[in-house]
Amino acid sequence: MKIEALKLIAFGPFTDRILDFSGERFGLQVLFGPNEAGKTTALRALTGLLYGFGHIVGDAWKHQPRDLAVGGVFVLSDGRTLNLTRFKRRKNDLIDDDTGEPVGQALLDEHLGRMGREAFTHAFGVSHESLRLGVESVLAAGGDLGHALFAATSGLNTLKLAMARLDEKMAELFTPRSRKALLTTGIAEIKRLRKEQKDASSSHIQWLKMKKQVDRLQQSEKTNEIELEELSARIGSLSRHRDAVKHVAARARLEKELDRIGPAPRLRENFRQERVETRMGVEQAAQTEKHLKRDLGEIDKRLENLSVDERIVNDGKRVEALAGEANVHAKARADAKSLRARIHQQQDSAKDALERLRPGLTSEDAEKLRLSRPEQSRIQRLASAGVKLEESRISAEKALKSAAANLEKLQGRLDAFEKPERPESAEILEDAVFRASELGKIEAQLEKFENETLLLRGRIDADLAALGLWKGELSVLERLAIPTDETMREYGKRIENVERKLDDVRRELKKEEKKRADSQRRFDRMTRSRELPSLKDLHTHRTLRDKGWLSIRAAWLHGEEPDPEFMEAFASDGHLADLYEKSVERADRTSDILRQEAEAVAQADNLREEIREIDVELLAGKIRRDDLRGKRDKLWDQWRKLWSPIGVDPLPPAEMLEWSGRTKELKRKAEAFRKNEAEAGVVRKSMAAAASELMSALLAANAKAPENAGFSTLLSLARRALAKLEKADRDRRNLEGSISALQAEIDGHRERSAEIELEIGRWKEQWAAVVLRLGLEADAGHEDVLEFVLALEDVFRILEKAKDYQVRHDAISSDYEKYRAKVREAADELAPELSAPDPETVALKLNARLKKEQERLKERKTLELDKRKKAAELAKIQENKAALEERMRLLCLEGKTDDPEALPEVEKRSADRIRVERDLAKVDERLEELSVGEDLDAFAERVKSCDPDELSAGIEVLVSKRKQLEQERKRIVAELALAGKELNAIGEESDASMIAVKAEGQIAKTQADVERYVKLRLGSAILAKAMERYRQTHQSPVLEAAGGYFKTITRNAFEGLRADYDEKGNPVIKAVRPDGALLEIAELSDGSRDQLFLALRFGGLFNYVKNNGPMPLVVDDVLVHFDDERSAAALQAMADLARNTQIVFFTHHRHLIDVMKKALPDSPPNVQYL
Amino acid sequence: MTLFVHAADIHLDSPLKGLYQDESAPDPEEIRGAARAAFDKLVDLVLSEGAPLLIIAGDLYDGDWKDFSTGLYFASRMRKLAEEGVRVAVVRGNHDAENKMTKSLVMPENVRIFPSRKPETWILEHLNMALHGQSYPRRDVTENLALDYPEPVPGMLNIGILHCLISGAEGHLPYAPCTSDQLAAKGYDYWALGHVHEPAVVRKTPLIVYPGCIQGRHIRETGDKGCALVEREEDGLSVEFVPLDVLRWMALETDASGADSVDRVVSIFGDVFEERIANLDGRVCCVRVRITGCCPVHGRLLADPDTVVANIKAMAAEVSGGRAWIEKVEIRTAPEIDLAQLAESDTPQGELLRYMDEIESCENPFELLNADFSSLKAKLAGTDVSVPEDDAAQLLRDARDILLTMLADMESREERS
Repeated sequence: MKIEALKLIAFGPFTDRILDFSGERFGLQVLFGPNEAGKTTALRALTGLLYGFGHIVGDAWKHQPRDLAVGGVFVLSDGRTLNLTRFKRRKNDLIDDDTGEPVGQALLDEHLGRMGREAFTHAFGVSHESLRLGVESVLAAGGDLGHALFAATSGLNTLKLAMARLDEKMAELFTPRSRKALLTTGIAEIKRLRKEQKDASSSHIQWLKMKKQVDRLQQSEKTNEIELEELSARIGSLSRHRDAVKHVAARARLEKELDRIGPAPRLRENFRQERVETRMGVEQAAQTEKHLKRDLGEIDKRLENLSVDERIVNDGKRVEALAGEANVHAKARADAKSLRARIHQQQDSAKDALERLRPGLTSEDAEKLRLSRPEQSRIQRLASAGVKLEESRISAEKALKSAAANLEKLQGRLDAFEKPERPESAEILEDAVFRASELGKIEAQLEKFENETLLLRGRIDADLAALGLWKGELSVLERLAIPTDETMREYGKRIENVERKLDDVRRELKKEEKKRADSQRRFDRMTRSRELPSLKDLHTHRTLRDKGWLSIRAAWLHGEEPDPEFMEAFASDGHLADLYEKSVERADRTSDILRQEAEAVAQADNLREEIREIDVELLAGKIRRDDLRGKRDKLWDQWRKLWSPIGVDPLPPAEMLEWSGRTKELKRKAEAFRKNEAEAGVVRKSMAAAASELMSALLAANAKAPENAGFSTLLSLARRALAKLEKADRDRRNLEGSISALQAEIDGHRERSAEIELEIGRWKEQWAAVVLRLGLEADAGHEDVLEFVLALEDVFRILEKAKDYQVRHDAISSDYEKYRAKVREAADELAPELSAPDPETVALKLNARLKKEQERLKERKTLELDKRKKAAELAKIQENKAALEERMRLLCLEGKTDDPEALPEVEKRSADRIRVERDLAKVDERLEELSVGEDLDAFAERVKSCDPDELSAGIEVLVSKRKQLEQERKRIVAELALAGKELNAIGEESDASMIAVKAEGQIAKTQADVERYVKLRLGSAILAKAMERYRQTHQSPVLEAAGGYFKTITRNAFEGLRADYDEKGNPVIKAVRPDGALLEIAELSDGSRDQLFLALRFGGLFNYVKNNGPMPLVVDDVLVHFDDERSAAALQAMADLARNTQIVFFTHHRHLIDVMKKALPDSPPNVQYL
Repeated sequence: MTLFVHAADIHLDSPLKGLYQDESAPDPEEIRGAARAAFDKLVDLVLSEGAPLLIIAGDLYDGDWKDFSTGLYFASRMRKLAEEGVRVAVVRGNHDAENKMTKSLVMPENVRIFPSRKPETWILEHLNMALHGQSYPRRDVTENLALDYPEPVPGMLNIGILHCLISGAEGHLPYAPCTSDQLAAKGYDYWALGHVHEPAVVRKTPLIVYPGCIQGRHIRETGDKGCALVEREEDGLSVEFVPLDVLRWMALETDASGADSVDRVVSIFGDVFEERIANLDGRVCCVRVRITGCCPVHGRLLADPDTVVANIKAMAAEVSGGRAWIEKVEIRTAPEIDLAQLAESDTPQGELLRYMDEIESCENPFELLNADFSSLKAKLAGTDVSVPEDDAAQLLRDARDILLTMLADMESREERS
């Protein structure tokens, strides 16, 4: 897929901005935007277009969120075109522009590799930040091949971090040896709680034991209780007898006293008090009766002298009302007088006012001039409009004058400005300053390069001196054709191989020799004391014997010479027959020995055979040894020959490899040295060019500059000159702007004046119409007219007031006459003798008479009431007195006497008898208690017969015994309480249940932790396996492509990338030098690592595009930390990749565009500016 | 008129399961002895209703519970009932058949524990009732005990007491299996059953009733728990279920579809939970939270479950006023991104997902991944905690989502920094 156009319809700062990516089939599309131009926003817009805007609101500051819209034209792999627009909506946010219908995200996903927003942005987005993270991750993973491929292809740049985080989380949960891990502590806690629960559970046996103890104590308590009861009963009996002694004596005494007192009435307790009260009551009643009779006589007398006029009293309300009105009418009469005066006054004022307004004007005329409320308002509005129009006219004139004066002043200032001689000089200067500024801190850079060059030179000299084996100049060294590492390794391996084999052969020979010596020793030991022939010997001896026999036969039968071989076989000469005999004997002996010593012979035979075989082996070994020696020497010769062209007498290959490494390091340093020198040269050159450009630009701008001024001095001078020029230009432009603005202003003022005059004309017509209605002149001033209207209003107000006063006066006079008639009527009825000049006085006098009569009536009523009260009181007293006298008679009856005076004596005897009888009853009651149901007299008789002292002694003994029993009881009860409590406690709340709940809770928690641990562990394993699998399937194509990019990006400093193994045998990625040397990632410089990761990313993308078709790659300022040279190389690699797929490159570095143009002269990228 | 109270499956002092006590948990005193508190309520109910008879149809204790104080506690409550003249009829069920403690404990005279050798009838003349029952002689009683129950006593109210499984009930061991027809055929007026922990009226004529357990002990025992109160009505017997539990177990599903942060998930949970606890009458509740739905926060929930649990607990404490235990938080959400589509892509992520699919379908994925948990298993021995190897597919899916989230998280974190 390719993006043909990105339409920023409404997004961030953009409105209807179209970024056109059409043109060649693919290619590098560059979007340049300086800071704040919206580069990042455009990047977000692109992602938003592909996957939706989500919840982002940051880009809706210029446009409303509902208006956000980004469109795109996509060319699909099959050539079809898709026109889509994305809106910020919850549903149907993707619209097909061709049909206007919503389309699903699935449509886009299908063309975006079905990978979702996150995976897509990772896989097809590269930024310098992601590059940095990726390099760190790959480095942290030790350059692991699977990891590097997985990370670079997916764009997941923090794989290693994620893996470390997984491990960390797992370790928090569980490691077999950690005691602090969550699971370990959880398990320990479960075990602890289980134990605690067991301890807290009460056992059955324990309960039974305690139960027995309680039962025993309960039995003791029962026994003790019975004993105590018996004892208490005995003590009680004795105590009763002892206590009864004194009561029996008292009983006798009281019976005697009763006889003495004799018979007497049993008077009530309050009899005496009642008698005294009755007597005093009778006396008091007689006294009161007397006083009341006297008072009643006096009241009757006073009533006879008191008379009342009831007529006036009955008509009291009318009289009081008339008196009440008197004051009101007096005041009204005074008011009427005052009103009359005011009426005259108002009428005079109105007349005067009319005269002043217009001589001869009567109030009737004036009425015709009366204005309605709308007419008044209209006059006021017109007057106020007239004033405003006048003010506008004046103000417009003033403004016009002021603007004209300003214009003149500014024109004068503009005329005073000088015209620049060479207007283009400022532009030249600006360009020069821009280019010089682009160079940055070039002097510091130069110094850095020079310092580094010096440093490197020193190191190179030192390293060269310490190199050994070879002496000469560095330049020679660099050209030396040192054998490659592979060759050296190969020789090393071969020589090592030969040496190892040689060692093996030597060891083998030594072993065989030792073995031979052993066998020989054993053989010698066996044959030292006896002869042990072999079967071969027997065969030899027999053959010889047979030869002897043939010789004898030949000599004997044919007379031939004996077989010389036979004859020579014997050391000593002899006769044939002897010799034959000897041979026969020897063959027989050998045969005998062989038979007799068969076992020993066989052993000797074996040993002999063994020795023979060993000898064969030894010989072969020696031949092999010599052969290997030859090979080794030949190898060494070749090795030396290999080094002879460069005049080095080589050490063994391993050491030479190390030596070669050092020379390579020297070469690298030399290369760096020369690069530094070259860069210093370039910098110096650019600085000089910039300085010269600045100098000429300064001269062109007529600015002075010292001839030997340095770059930075020139730059700051140029900047100052440029600022000055720019300021002058700005000032002049400002002035011109102000002048044209002023001219426009003056025109405006003139137009306004003309409009005002027109309005004044219209106003005058309306004014004249209004004013004539009032009988005034058409040009009457608005203030005069308003004043006339106001004066007319005043006159109408005064006349109204006079009318009001007249009405009020008439009302007062009518009321007063009515009042007078009412007073006269009342006086005629109630007091015809009363006379007075005015009705008010008559009314008041009548009222005074009424008050007096009312007083007398009140007094008469009081006296009558008093009389009734006293009469009632008297009757009551008399009744009471009679009752008291009856009561006294009854008391005498009770005391059984006729004389009330004898009653005190009767009372005394009665009291004595009652007291003695009560005491006797008490004694009997007590004795009854002590006798516990026994007959009282019998009990008393028995008590009399007891000795009190004996009783006390008996009781004392029993009480002491009871005390002992009680103490015993206390002890038993205490023990029982304790034991009972303990026993019951078992049935109370048990901790075991609570602990069990805790244990169950801990089990659940630990179970959850286990599950989490298992998931993390599985996650970690899955990731590792998936990476390895990915490596196996993608290693070759990705590495191959990445290697090519790496070569391009490093400008052939490396040949490519290769899969290799590290010391531990793990597959890792290595960079290949042109000389074949392999470097691990850790051995690369920071810059080379960045380049390597970028190459890997490109390699992965190339592989994807190859398998799945083109997909736009978004590159965001990835070259920030690359210098121009490396940037150019990276851009070339990018352009290479862009032949197969579209690359949208976002940058805010202007110089990169220049770099790009230089680096890609044949296919310049399509640059769009934001 | 209350005739009797019927309860079963009391499991006295058996611990509540899965309640981990940490800082955010409610006061543990609230759940201390929940089973006893519920049992006290049962005793109070018998007394306050003036019921002359309490029937306990098996599983009064747990078989492996060894704390003797439990038996003493029961005896003390039985004495309390004895003081008021209440009779108690008990049969032993599969759980307490083998409990030695119960055998040696002396019960007050008002308690009748039915023998296990054969069924027996207890005549209560003053109540005009005949109770028929049989205890379990051992744990695994697989024969139908009901068949041998005696004939009903004519003219009396006949009640059968039996700990059994009526065919058709699921999730319980098939002890003393029988059918409701078999029970009905006995001619009793009421069958007081035990064993099934959910209350149920199995049949109305005659009444065959499971009262359920009186207090839930784990998350599979949710909802009201209590006993059956049986009264005599004009036209026969009536049953009313009376809740007794002091602590309610609750399974709560939180649909977190579309949630993009842990806070949002917790907030949704808070709303759902608030609605659910409105009618708990101030009971403490134990809640299992199951978070479901497709949501962007799915992976984060899996990767950092501690944070999720801590936040859920804090929200539960706030909403319930500190009266809720969070027993477990099950994360059963799904990712919002289309993994099937990503798996089709030619990317390392796609490769990873395809590999995952392969592993899932293989017979022994742990072995394939060299994931050896033997040292962990050794440590876990004897703790009742196990390595959950049975549900490998779910574990692998979770592991995959943790992995994908962690990769994406690290990327965005590093890019931000």
